[in-house]
Amino acid sequence: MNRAILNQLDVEAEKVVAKYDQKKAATLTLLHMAQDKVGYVTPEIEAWVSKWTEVPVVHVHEVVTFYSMYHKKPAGKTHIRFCTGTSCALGGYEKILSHLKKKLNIQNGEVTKDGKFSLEEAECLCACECAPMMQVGDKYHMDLTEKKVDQILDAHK
Amino acid sequence: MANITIDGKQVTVKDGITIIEAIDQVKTELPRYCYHPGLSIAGNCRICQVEVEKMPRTVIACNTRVAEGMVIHTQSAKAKESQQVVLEFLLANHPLDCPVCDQAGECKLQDYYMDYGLYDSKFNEQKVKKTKKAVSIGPTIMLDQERCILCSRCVRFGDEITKTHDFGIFNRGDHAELNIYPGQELNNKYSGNVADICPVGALTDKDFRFKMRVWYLGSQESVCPGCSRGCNIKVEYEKSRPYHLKNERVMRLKPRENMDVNKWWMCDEGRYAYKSIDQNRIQKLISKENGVSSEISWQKALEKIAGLLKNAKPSSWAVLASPQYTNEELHLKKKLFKDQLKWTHIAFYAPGQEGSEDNFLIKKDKNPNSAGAAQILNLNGAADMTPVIEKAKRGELEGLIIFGHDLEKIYGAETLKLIRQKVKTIIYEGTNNNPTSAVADMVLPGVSYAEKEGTFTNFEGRVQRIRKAVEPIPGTLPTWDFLLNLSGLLGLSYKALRPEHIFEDLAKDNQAFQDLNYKKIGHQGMVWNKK
Ligand code: SF4
Ligand code: FES
Repeated sequence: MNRAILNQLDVEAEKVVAKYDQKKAATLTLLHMAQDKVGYVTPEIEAWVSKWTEVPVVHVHEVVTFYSMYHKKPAGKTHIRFCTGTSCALGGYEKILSHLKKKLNIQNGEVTKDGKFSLEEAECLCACECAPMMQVGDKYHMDLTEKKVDQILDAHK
Repeated sequence: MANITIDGKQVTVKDGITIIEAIDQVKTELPRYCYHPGLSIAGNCRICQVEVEKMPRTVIACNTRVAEGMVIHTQSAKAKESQQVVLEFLLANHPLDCPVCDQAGECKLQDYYMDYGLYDSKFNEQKVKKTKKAVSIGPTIMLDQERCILCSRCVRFGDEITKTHDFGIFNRGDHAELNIYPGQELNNKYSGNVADICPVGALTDKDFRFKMRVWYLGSQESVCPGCSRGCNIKVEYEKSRPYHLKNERVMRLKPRENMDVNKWWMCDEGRYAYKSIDQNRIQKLISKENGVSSEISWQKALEKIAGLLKNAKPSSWAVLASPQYTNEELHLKKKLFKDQLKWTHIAFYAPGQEGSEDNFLIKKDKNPNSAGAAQILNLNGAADMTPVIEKAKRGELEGLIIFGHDLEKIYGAETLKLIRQKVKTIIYEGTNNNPTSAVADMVLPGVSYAEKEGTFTNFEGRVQRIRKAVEPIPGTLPTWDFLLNLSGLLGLSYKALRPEHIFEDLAKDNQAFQDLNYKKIGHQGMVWNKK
């Protein structure tokens, strides 16, 4: 299945690689492209990126494990990054986080049974001015309350 | 050229080299982990701190270039403090279990702690444990992640030397760990080198692991006999505990730096081939008479052989010399069989024995001294043993002296059987038992390259010395010694007592070796004079 997806991505990959002076510079972009389609970075994706960038696959793997925004295992359809930074702590994130966990019935690093959500506790996401906050998919949700969390989850069901 | 000062000593060095290269040129001690002269600069371990006057902070010597007028201190209080602090960080997550670590004794963490550390640990936190403790990552190497200091030497070795891209550093910060790609194994022809360059106990050699503490090892310079490259090596042997591992003396081989031959490396095939020095050795001098084998003394054997050779018709005997032997031994063979006895059937080349080759170190000729054999025996293209073998098969030979060759391996069991039937006397000289030694009328136990002195000539004509690391096994005799004695009995008097003297004679005799002697050959070898 991944193969087919990656074959489709080949056309786009060619364009991406052409944008850079050095092929290896396209590593991050290609990883994101493939992860967006497949959900997480598989060994096949690493090999595919290696093929396009001419970066040895072991070094592609270094990149994947270095950055926390690449998933090394399947994530939920909607991935939640919940900020546990200092400001969010002062803003009382703990209560909200445990509410979220109870609601989803998962712990940090897990995926809900229906595969809809996954949760990751993150270090500061740089939105201290509106702590507590979390990132759902690509979007920041700020000044969280338990009620707000419920609404957000419902919207993503 | 740049004029710089290192620890008060003024030196002039090449422009553009790094401080550490300059320091190495003047042979000053400076700690280093990630720096290796054969690999690219990483500058990640930070231990090589030096103070450079007029610079605000200490700098790393491996990634700072020299500049005119630089005044460098490696021992000043400032430099030492930096080195010490870096070491403390490097050891923060390192286990403190040297007594059970196989690297102990040749570990740079241990060494540098004693030389540059000696601090009291200020570290109260829990150490971050890495995942993999003592896992096999391939046929030759074990990985212990928690001992790794992430210097990336092994990573660069895979990227730059073997180009097999084996290692990577995964995750980051405290959690960064060294590993090979998941599901792969470390399996290339030079894998053993990563254990040599790993400065700590993270990568260890399975073959040597826990076999012996390194401080019991003796070390002798030699040359690998595994192929015609002649990589410079150290033969490391059990030195002070003869009761330990009773019948094994040589414990491991290590590459020895020679920029003209093998740089810092050697191949796995050569590295692990040392076992034949202690295994399956011919230890008894056996002579068969009327179908009965008995052990006889060297004295008796020499007399017997001399008697046979005295009466032999030069055209009815043949000698199979071998490029596994030293220049000195080949020279004696030439003197005795060719010049003195006037034999015409002399050969050394065994056809069809080529192995694999690459464009790095490994050569397909698996003999260490083919160039020397060809030059010394001077057979004008008639080095191939096959015509001699054909003659023997046809029953045209009365006697055959074989040095080291296993005819079954080269020509097949049938041929060996036939030769055995047709040739009346077969004398075998060699180090290890094989089907040919098994059928010989007389078996003379020789010594391995680790038990004698001599020289090999590599494929480029570089003459290099092998040296005696361990004593010959009782009952065995170096081939040169045997040949000297035999020559004496056959009226060829020699003043030589040692291989060195034989070499002097060779130098007189053979243009290619002219002007060479053991002193000139030294530790790094010397290219011969052949035009
Ligand atoms: S395993 Fe050894 S050579 Fe490789 S990074 Fe770690 S300490 Fe360096
Ligand atoms: S040896 Fe200079 S930083 Fe590692």
